[in-house]
Amino acid sequence: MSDRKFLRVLLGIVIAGLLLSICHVIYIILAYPNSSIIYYISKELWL
Amino acid sequence: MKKKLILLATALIFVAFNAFLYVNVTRKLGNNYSTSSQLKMVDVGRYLPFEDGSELARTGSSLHFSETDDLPVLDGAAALVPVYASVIDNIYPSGCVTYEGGAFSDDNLYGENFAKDSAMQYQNTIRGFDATVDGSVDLFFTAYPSKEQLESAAEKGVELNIVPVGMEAFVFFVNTKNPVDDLSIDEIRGIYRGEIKNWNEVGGINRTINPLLRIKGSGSQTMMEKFMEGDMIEKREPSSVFGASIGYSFRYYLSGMVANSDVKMLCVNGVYPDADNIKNGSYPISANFYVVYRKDNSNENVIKLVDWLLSDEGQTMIEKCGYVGLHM
Repeated sequence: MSDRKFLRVLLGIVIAGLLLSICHVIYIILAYPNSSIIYYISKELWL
Repeated sequence: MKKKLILLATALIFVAFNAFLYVNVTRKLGNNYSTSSQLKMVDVGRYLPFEDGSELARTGSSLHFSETDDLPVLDGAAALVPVYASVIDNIYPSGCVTYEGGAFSDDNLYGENFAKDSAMQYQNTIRGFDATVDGSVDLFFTAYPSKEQLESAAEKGVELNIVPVGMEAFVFFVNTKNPVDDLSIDEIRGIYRGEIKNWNEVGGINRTINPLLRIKGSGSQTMMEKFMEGDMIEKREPSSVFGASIGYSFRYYLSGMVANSDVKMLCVNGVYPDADNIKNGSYPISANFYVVYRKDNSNENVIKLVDWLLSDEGQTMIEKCGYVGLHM
């Protein structure tokens, strides 16, 4: 893989990953304050 | 080869970050960001009057309305749907509950499809209270209205009668796997004032406490504000989102209507919130629930219904619904 192609692919992965992460965090910020208390607690992970 | 590993590692960092968020937060969000979906929080289809198999208290009544009577329109909080649906089932003529399109459906964003001329409505606490003030609902079943709701009614020049008709416990709950079973009132207030932040301070494991709140104006939020005497955190803390949560609700809504087997109610001051402990007064956070109607409502059947609710027949029905009567 050439350096040029490597950088393009890396940039693509970083942009896609950042977009996904930003959308995910925005969804949480909007949904969390109004989410169902009962459902939220029932889905907690306990080891 | 090294370049491919770098690409793979980069991708994995994002995958791991999003997987962490999904497992710890996103997976637990039971609705979208719209408050309307939180208002639509009970399966009303289980409590439809005059339907075979509805989970209603069919206790009978010596009071009956006919099709020619001026039928009071009933609405209420989610937790009280079984009560006012049972009132209609016992007293009203069949055919008085109607639906847009002819058949019941809850398959839309804003809730159930009760027709405008239906004697039963379901708009839940916030919209239903406003409808009562505006006069499109005659009798509203609810926890005690919030200060803001009462001020809103007063600003519109509307005087309300607020009549207690039954009792209910205000309960706190956690995940069933949380080892804590009992909290004192002081501990609960400490948690919701941000003074107690870890479960190990109240006999649990070393894990951050995530105190959850409900939306302003809901019945349980109003009750919580009253319980906290106005001194409590104002929003869910993002910093404790990965902790173990505690929430609050009314007993029958949690244990009878939602009946989620993955949450458990907590004892308060060592007393479990069952019907006996509410009746005998040993459970410390009991509250009345009420019917609200405009003082200037000229429909005489409204008063008849309120009187019936306070009679032995009405109180028996309320008990049969799963709540606690005022004088049973």
